Amino acid sequence: MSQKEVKKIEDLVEEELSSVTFIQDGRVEFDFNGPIVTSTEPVAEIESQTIRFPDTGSRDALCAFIANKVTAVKLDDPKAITLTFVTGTIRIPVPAADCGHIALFKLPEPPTVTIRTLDPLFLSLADAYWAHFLGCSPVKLRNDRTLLLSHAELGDYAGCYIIQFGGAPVVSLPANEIESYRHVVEAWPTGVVRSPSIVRAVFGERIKAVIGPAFIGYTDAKLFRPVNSVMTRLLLSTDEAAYEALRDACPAEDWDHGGTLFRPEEMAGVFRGKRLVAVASYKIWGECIAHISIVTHPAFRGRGYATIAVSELTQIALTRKLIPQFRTLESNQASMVVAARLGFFRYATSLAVRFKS
Amino acid sequence: MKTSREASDSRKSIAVEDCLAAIVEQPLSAVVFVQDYLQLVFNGACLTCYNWPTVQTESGTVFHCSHGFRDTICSQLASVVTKVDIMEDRLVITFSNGSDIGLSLVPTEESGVEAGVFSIPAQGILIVWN
Repeated sequence: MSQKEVKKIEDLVEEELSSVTFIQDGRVEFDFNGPIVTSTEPVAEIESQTIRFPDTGSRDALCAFIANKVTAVKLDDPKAITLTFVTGTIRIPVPAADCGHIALFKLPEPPTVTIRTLDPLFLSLADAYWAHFLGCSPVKLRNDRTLLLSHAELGDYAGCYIIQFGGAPVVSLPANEIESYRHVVEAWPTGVVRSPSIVRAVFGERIKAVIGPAFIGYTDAKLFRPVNSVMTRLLLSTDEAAYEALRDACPAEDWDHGGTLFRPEEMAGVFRGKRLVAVASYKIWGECIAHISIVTHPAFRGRGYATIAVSELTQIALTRKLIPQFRTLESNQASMVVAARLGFFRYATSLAVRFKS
Repeated sequence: MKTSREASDSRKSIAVEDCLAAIVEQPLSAVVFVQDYLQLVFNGACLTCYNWPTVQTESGTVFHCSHGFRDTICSQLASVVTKVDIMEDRLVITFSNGSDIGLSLVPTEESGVEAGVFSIPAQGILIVWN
């Protein structure tokens, strides 16, 4: 899966068709690792042959594109959308009422948390953590206007951290950079966390990396929707060899994102036989936030094991009176699906801009 | 064949057959084709087939390698399940039109470590054939 952000149907270029679903009511859903295009009358064109759904052979023809990447998206507005692959095309007629191609295209999105949704105690503790992290009062987190602060807990981080809690963004910069950027940053609109181009225009050549937008979600005992399985349990000290084997099987980059030191009392694992295939672990942020990370064996992805591991660990965290926190890049659709499935609601959205040293 | 199963918060042991019975009288509501496996969805219950299933109709048996395999399996959409049997390491789902879908529950080199998974997320049910 590519890491680029898909917001509209044209962004499907370079995205891989991961599955095709045929539904009882006659709809066909084309899933691109999260974003879904729906049609009732798709047409496959392969080797100069045109096959219309639901004609005989059309399902085989449409599924022949699975695992292939889109090379072009053509909008023959208002008549059709054509998705081109190396081996052919899928043409999707557009209903007259859907000139904006909106009804055909949907993105997975966990629901947004509101002050009334999350457990009030959890919300106040999360607010207190982030206020301390940013160096402001909790009441300042949700403003009508952009709030510019100098780094507090971010210390000497050479970069700009932008986080939005539902109001205008809160922006944190190194203390000696505040005045240089104040006039520009304070004019940033709500939603800048999802507009890296605005940020790039301000910091330009100074940027080493832009990380985000990232989803930050919480759940509580009421919102949490567990997935139970006998395949998962809290890791024990005797599981260290299995944990090391999992680390050896994972690419280094994946391990950097989701792996950690072996801390058996703060890890839930999914076992297939004696093999550990997924581990969710948490670190304590502040005093009561359990920040959850996940890593899955490359040979066992796409089978729901990450969801099972995170579910078990979330249950453990809640039992320990901790606030389960799940953070992931929004471009990581697989992780976004885990969050949505388990009932992690959006609390904030962040964007980090790391400067060159 | 080994079966891992689990049911709900109570962690009570529930027979595999009882779990599978939940799809009886349910229609096949969707078929999901992924790169190397497929899923049969029965209104909230899902059978993930890492082994390729076969479809038995009055016209004969259709295999994954057969022309029109996907058309045949999708022709069962909206058909109601009348019974589910496990016979000699094989799961057989019979539909009201007389057709059935069969799945070998023995993992192969092609399917990997698992032959299939049956789940009902809302009830916390997960059965793995490995």
